[in-house]
Amino acid sequence: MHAREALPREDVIKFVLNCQKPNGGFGAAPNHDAHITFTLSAVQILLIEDALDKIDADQIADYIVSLHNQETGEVSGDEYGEVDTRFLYIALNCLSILGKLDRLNVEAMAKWIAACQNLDGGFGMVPGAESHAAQAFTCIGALTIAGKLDLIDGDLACWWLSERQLPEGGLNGRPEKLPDVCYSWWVLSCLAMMKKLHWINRDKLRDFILKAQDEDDGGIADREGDVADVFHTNFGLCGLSLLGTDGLDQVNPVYCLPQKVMHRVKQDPWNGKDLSK
Amino acid sequence: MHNVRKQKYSAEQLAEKKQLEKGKINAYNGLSTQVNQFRREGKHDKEALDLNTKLIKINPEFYTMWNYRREILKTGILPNLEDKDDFLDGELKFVQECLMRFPKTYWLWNHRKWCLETAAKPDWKKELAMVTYALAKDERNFHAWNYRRYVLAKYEETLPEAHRGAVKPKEFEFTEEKINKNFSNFSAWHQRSKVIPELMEETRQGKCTDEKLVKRLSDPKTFFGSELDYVKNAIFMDPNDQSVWLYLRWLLTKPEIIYPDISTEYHIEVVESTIKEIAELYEDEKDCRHCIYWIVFYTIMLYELKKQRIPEAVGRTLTKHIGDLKEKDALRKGQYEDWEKVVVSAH
Repeated sequence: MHAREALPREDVIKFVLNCQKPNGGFGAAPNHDAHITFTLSAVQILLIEDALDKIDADQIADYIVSLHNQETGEVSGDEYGEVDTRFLYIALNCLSILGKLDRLNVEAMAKWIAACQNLDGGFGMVPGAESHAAQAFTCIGALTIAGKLDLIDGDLACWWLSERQLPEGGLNGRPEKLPDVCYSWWVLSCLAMMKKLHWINRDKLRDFILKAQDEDDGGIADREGDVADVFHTNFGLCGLSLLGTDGLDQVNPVYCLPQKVMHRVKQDPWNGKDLSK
Repeated sequence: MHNVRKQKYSAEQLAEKKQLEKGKINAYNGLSTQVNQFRREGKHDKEALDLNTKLIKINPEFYTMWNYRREILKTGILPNLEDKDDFLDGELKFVQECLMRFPKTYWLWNHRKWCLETAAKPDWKKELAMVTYALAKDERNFHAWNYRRYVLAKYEETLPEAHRGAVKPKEFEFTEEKINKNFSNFSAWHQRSKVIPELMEETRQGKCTDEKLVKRLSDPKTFFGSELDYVKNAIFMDPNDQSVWLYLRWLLTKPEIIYPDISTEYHIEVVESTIKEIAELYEDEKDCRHCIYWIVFYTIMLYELKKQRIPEAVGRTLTKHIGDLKEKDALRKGQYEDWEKVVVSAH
């Protein structure tokens, strides 16, 4: 939103660095344990602030590699071993930012992700799990970074994704569920990666997101009339950006980062090109 | 916030609400400072556990507290107990109480796994009953469904070899029970699509012990037909529901999963009769976009199976149908325009 200065840069960097643990990973806050999710958040924030030189990329890569099963491709969230497509996507995302993809068995990872595609074209959390739109983002995102989109049935995936749009314009996460602003990101980013944004009605979706904005406090809620929060505000704005909205920076659909900082990603699959064009 | 309605408050109400929240936040912060202090000190006793319990009950998303809890249990509590499993059973009850309030918190489901994997003799059967109960409360909770697949695998693994073959048939029945209750339950259709290939494999290997089912599965052609009839019945009851169309699509695009020796001729025959049935349904359900969509989809598939170009007359009908779709389902107009190009170039 062209307002990076709204948060004081030095304080932001200091806070992030305070969240790093001796094992190289980052926690959600200084008193929290390391987890792969917050490790990516830390790297993303430092990338936006152009402060990646403040961290030791090898140490972070070591942490992520310690959670990666080189044989099966699986990635767990932390030492307790919860395995999920989210963490696999994060590992690829984080190490491509740091230019260390060669530390991962990308081939095995792509195969594992492809096994998560279901009969309906969508993707589940692990092979065998039911399709969910947020998992479509992690799987299609992971395969995009890995350069292995050819392993899945792309048209079927996009069909399933476009079926997520409901008459009120919003998108849902699974069949027979209510629409929710956060899927404006999870679904739309996939359609952008697969160059099928035109498979849904963009004007109606834009209206749905705008109606979910709270006129009193400015935030965006899951849908019209609900309480706004940071999560939905972020994904609502990112959705609006993918739809092309004046006043918003272009967002990158794979990384959920402003396009203008993408040149700092060391192994970006599109070499800094704007994907939506 | 997910599903939290915004309410209008007067200035007075707002001040009161803020005051109340402030009290809660102060109490929470005090509690978490204390627990963090205990952790830094390496405190792993009953006092630490009790305070950890108090904090988790308020905020089960504080994942670090689950890690700390496991540290306490592993080093300070379990080694001093004679009956560890009894204690871990209590721990499962605690997680269950939390799940009633927060059924979609990943960390809770994870902690259950840890408890069971730490126990000397985990009761997987009881755990299966617990997840069945969770799915009775919310039939679409995908955390519960995923967890169910994990529990089923563990349960089967720990059974004596002779009894293992009864697990999957029971699960197959479970999906049917769920579907019959509500055929919009796509989670159950999905589970069915995952259990069937496993069941087929077990039957082939002679592991499946449910005689009635073995008899059904040993005749793939009839079984394939009965699955088709089952889902078509559901479609005829409510053609506007997506779940059933998806299951039908799975059966017709991947028939070899159930019927490995299916001939192309028979496959063509089944697809042809399906198109006819949908067309009949469409006569009574003129507003149903799904009917036209699938008529077009299966017609294109039919000519691919026949390895023939789409005849001109058929192509014209399809183009007309796609035109109808663009009108009836304007949201996805762009997709149908892409489809139109394919159909036009095919004939």
